[in-house]
Amino acid sequence: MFRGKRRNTSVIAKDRLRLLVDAERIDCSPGILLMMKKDMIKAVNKYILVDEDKVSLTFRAVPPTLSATIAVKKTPHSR
Amino acid sequence: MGEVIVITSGKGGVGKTTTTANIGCGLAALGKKAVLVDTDIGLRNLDVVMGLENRIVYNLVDVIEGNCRMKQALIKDKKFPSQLFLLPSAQTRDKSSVTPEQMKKLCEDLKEEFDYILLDCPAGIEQGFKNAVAGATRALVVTTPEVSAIRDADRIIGLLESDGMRNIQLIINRLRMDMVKRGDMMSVDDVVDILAVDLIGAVPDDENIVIATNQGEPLAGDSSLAGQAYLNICKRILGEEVPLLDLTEKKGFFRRLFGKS
Repeated sequence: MFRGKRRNTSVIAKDRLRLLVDAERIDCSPGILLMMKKDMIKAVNKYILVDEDKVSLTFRAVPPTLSATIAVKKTPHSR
Repeated sequence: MGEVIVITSGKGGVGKTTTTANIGCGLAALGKKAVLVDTDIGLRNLDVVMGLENRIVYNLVDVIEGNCRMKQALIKDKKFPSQLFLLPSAQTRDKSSVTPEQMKKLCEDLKEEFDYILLDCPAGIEQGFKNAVAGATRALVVTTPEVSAIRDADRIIGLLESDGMRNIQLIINRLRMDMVKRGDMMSVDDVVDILAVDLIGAVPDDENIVIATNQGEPLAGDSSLAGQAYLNICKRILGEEVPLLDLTEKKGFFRRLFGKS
């Protein structure tokens, strides 16, 4: 109660696992996957504003596909 | 003709052997004839969990090398002597004394006699794993709701898939619902979401398992929560549709009254 707000550790565990499992499924290290994610955000950000906390990479085995879900920020002009 | 099922996990200590013993016991209780094969050569454990360690004369390697007949090596279970049997592993040999081809042949022979052949797989992904998987047509992957165990389970599932295993199902072991509710343990849904395989059952972290293992008596089918969970898994193996058990521990009236947990 007095420790302040602590994030649910199960959420931390799930986030760590997702990255780990995705990285291992495409046979690359989690560090490299994170770098790739950052580069993708940078690239897209040049054109559209990205909601960086809501970017996720998923990997499917059949057919081997890497897909990225990139949330974009709403601007006053967007509908 | 029987079905050959391998119980595997990748990571050690998640409850493969306990799961194997309890599924065997549950299938026997449901009227099926089952044999448990300990494929962990050099580190046998299933005999102790079953409480049959003092009855071992011959072992798996003896059968494969032709030192004895299959019948001589099979040990009858105490509780289900006509339904459940154990083929113990060799303690003083190593994994290289058996090849995947020999294991396949052994499974084929056992299929004639039994409805279910359950292979308790060693931890790891080396020779012992390859041997255990060779003869199986269904795999039950055991994990606990921990990052390390789930990561290894994912590796194992990948290896099984690339090996051509079609039928892979997941058992989540040692769930603590109090921690899941608090948000400090991943839930069944979280784990299934990450691993993306079919779930065949979830087993609560139950002190009755330790008590049962102390005595060498599996608890599948008894009144404990874990015993019920194991029996449900067995029913699902037989193709029955059984809803997932509510794993929240219900405290009895007296326990509530006296505040013992």
